[in-house]
Amino acid sequence: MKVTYNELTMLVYNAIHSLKLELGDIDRITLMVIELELVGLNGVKNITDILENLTINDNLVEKIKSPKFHKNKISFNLQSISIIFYANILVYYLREKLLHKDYISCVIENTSDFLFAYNEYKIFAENGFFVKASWIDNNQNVCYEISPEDPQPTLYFSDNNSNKNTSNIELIISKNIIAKTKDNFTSYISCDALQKIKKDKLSKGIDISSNDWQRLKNIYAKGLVEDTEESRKGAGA
Amino acid sequence: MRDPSIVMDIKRLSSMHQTCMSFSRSTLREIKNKKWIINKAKFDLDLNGYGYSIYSINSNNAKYNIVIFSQFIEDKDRNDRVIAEKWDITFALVKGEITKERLSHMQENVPLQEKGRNDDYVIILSRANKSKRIFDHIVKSLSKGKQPDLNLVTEVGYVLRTTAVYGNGKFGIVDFNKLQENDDFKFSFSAQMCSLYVLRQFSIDLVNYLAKKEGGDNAVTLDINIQRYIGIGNSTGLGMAPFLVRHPKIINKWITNREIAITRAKNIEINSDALNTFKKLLNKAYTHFFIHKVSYENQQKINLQICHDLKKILVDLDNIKTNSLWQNVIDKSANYSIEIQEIVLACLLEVNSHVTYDLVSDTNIEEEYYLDKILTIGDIQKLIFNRYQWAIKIDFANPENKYWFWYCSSEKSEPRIGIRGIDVGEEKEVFLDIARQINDFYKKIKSLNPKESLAEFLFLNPKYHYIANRIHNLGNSTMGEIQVNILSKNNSPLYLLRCKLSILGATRFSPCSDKWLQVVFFQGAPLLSESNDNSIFPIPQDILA
Repeated sequence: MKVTYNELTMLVYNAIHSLKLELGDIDRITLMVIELELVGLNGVKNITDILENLTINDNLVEKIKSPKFHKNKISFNLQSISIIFYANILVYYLREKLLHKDYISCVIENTSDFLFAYNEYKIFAENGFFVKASWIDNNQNVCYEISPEDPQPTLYFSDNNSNKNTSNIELIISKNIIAKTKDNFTSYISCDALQKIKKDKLSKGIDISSNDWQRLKNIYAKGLVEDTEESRKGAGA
Repeated sequence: MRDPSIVMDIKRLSSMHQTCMSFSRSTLREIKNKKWIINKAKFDLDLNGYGYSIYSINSNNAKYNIVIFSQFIEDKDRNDRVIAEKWDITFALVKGEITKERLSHMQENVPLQEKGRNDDYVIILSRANKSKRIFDHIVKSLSKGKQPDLNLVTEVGYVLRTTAVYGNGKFGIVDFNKLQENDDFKFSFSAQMCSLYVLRQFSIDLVNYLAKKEGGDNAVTLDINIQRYIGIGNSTGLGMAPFLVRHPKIINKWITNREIAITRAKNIEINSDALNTFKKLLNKAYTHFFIHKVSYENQQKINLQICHDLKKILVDLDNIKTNSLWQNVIDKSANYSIEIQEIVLACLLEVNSHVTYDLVSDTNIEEEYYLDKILTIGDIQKLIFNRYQWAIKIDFANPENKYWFWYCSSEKSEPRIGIRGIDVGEEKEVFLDIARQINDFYKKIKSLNPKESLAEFLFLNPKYHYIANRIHNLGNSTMGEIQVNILSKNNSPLYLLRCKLSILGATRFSPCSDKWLQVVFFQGAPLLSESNDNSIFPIPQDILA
């Protein structure tokens, strides 16, 4: 089914909001989902999967400790919380550290849903940095590269046969060009291709699977309050 | 400009009135200045007025149509609230021609409103009901060759009353961001206002048509002066309130523009013509409030007090000298209530409307934002202390300060409020509690070392990221945050509703309870064939003379 940008934004926002998570900024998280959907990377389906299976509790957040920092290296342990709920916080944290450094190399450990940080990494590029993020997802190596002023990154893919940890993201942010690694990858989606997909969706409409749309609506419905005779008196006009 | 602590106080915002900058007025100016041609292209109604009509609009840039469906509904189904399922009238503003296929699709979907599905050639989707008090009376009178009872016309002021007027991508219609390339409807609410203006003409055509069908040669058409006094009613409830909280950057733009205009106007020298016009407008305002009968006791008291004070300030203004600045008039009004001060400002802008024209075409703004500066805890402590005293001084341990909770009902997902500890749904409260979030955040950081990093703090306390982002980004948008604790027992949701309605251009605020109210748009505005807009504080002087 075709939906409008505003319908999609409102439903994603409301679905996340309905879970009453005390994590991050829902406006920013919503943007992460929408941007992924607009570039054809299944933002809606994936956020629906996440929200349907979510088991975050306060204890997990409390377990998160200040990251370890050594020279230009830093590591975060997100205690199995999805990157979608922490990406905007991590990016702000790293931008502060970059005030006095030319580059930072970091590992984000113990997280999931790696691609959802897609939109937040772009903030580094908007602020003049080169970014390279890599991870393993479904036995596939994925690499995200973006340069300053690029509207979208380029994504590289290859099969993975190693036993590397699959819950980590390796991230390099640098004021200088980062060596490209595309030779090791077997396929890619270019910045231009991603931007074209986005433009097409914005002008022609956004196609969403009816099933995913309904699942998202069901999540939103959890945050709604059943009507009573009394509450109907306050119903808006 | 005035200080945000004055301008953004909810009591002042809820005392605002329509000005020449309001969206109904600026849209009308655009239509008249650019000589848009609006015609009744099709009026395919049966003897009872049921069927469909099309009004064509040629803006010179593009062609549009407003397609209006009229159907029979039982009296028991006629309900102004968003929970209604049927309406007398449903309509849509459409870009381009109405082909057979489009008309057929619209016939199936527009009358369903929220339950229908539309294509993106539709720009606005809305509905209206007939006024039970006046519709049949007008038709019957005209059919017998008489004009309607003028007292009744004055009391109601409209024939059709809309409820929700949907734009921006709702139910499949075009997104507002896609309209940014459309020179006719790229400004906030201009498409909504154009639709209401045309619907007003339809309402007049409808009563004239039905009177003729009923009375034949005995029938007369509605007097032109009464036609002009007929506006379009609107019922508004809590659904409008979250918009004001969720879109601080837009609010900042609208209110800042208004303040810039006021600053420009108050520094202009008064000449005798302008002063006379200004006094005439205050007199007009007096009549407007004097004849406005409203059943809600609080509003009744407010209107009476306004009339009393307007008489006094008119005497005070006798001492105003020409060649002095309008600032002197504003200074005089400072001795009166906020309502009077805001009426004075509305009249001030009206007589100096030329200072507003560039501002009303600058109402849109990019809303996305993130924490774009690296801050210390001290930076944010200072920002909160300087800008948010109104929020941090609230004692949220006092139950009266968190009396209400806001939630969304399962019926049409619309916002409602409940009483904490009494009504069900508290655990599903929606995050509109900006004052409480700021208060909570400030408590958490006020004793921290100012040199500490905000980024470190947020990393360990992620729940504060949203409010920190909002505080930082509104630091330079000082008119964005409405200074109100919407959870407080003392806060009436009507305050928020009235604020937005005055920006839209509504008049005759008539609360029906503490949760919803009725207003009128385009009352006193020029008819399709006319051009002069003297609709501020509309009065029926011409019809009663």
